[in-house]
Amino acid sequence: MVLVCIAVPLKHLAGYPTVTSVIGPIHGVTFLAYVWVVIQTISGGGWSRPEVARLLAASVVPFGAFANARLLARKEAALASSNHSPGMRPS
Amino acid sequence: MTLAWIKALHLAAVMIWIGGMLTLSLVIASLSANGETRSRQELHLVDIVRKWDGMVTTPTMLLVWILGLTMAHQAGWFSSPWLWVKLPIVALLSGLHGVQSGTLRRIASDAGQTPPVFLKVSAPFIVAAVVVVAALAATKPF
Repeated sequence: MVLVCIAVPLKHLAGYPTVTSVIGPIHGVTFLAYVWVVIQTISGGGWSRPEVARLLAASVVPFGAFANARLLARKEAALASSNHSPGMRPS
Repeated sequence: MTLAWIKALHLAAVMIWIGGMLTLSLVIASLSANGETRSRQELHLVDIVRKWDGMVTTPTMLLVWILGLTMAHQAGWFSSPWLWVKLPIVALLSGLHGVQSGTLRRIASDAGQTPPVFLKVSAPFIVAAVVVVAALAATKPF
């Protein structure tokens, strides 16, 4: 959000590129970390193909993470309840 | 920070990361094939390795990426073809690490789970990938 809403307008409208040179790499590393967490989460099981597609699409659409907030909250609640069910060990 | 210091920290981080990945590989390969017969000791080992992965191996992998990209930027290597051969191999290793980590989480939360077969034979792939990456970075052949 800082990159899209502040750094990029500052660069192209105000001719001030310093902020993008700082925020850009942070954004890039955060993106890599997000994709890695998605891979780890999918490998942990319990995700359907449409849900995986939604998680990945959210990473390339601006503000996509907000669209996924409810899905993630639902999955978190389901995971928490499954960890308390018989035969399961909490992770 | 000078290029030499970034390179030194990058190499140290790579060694810690790959050591952690090989540990994950060997632990996954050593787990009983039948999840139902997994012993308490095996699950204890899974818990210990998962803690090390979360506290050391995964943050170190992120550090490898940050230091590596910083070094490539400072040294002007983004125009060199060898780096563009190396990057997909490192991305594959990172993805494999994500699968290993997620699989161990699944096993920790449900002892009956069986890891995918390819994870049981991932150690030779990791070793081969590291050899190619090291050769590319050291010799910069093209």
